[in-house]
Amino acid sequence: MATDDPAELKTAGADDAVERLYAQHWASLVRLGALLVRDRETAEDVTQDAFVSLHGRWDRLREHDKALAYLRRSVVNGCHSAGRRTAVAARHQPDPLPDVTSAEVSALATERRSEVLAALATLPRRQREVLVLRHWLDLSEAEIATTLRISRGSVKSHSSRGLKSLRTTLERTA
Amino acid sequence: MNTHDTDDRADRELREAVRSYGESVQPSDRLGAIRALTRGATAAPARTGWWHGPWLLAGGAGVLAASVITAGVVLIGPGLGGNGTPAADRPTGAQTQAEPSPTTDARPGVQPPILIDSPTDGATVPSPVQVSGTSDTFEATVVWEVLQGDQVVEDGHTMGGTLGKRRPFTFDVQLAPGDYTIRAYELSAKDGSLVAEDTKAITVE
Repeated sequence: MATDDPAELKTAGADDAVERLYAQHWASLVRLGALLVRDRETAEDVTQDAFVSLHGRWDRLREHDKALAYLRRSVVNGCHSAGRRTAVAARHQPDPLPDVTSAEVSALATERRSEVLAALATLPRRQREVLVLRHWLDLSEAEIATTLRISRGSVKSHSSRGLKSLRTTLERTA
Repeated sequence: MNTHDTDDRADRELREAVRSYGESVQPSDRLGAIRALTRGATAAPARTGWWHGPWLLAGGAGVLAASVITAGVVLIGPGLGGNGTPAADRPTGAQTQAEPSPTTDARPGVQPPILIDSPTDGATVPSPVQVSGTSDTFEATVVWEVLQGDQVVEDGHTMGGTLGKRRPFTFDVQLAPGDYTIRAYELSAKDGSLVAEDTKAITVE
């Protein structure tokens, strides 16, 4: 993860803080959102909202870690709300994101990946969020618990339940 | 670096899929939009939009919100616990009622931009709490948070109606038993000031 001096960030105004956090985390947060809603533009909207509302409450957050946790939480929650709206539409549409793969990646691997992602998309909300946070952002159990505001025990059980049903789904198609 | 078991095949496949998909997403630049929405938000003078009409004076929360807006301060979160707008001030079943519009200023009976219909103020409800209401806000955005005292315990945003079309919004929130205040609000896209809000004090059983 990119580093910066938290003390310095602490004294920066809301504008500066937002700019810095944007520079460091915009792409990764949008991608996090895209993994949850499967749509880049929706993910961008949600992430943009997260930055805007972070700016509004900078006085309360002040610290880099808290701010980043806030952004992550906003993106996850925002995606949940946005996902509910787009769920029906999505069911009638193919995956809106183009499959960007380099030529050397075999079609088979690509297909497998979309199977895995399709299986992931069928999981209940929390299981999906836990698995995505863990694999995309490499968050620890404790960090996931903070981000989702659930207990570490819940993180564990969501994670193992999610994996278990993934395993079942994937074995069927393997 | 962590205790996750990565020797699991499904887990490994998942990781690979998640990472390759994530990296394939090319975010476009929204810094300009974010700047436009946030710059000057803390210093801007109070917005005197047409919809700052009679609804702001409707209840305790409204009076507080109005004074805050007048002071030009961005009010977020704390200090509003338990200030539900009295249900009596609210037209019921009025989803089709005329909306505030620039040409009908200060019309009595006009609905505030954001109303939480359920749960009602003082209600005792099970978790997950299903919050629903109606709204008509800029770009349909409704920001919400759940407060315990001054502490924000959950937050997020959802969408309702916009451009004069009042539409329902909903969100669910998992809460441990206790007393909370649910707050749904809109901040001005122009200067970050509080445009509208509704709060409900509830007890989760």
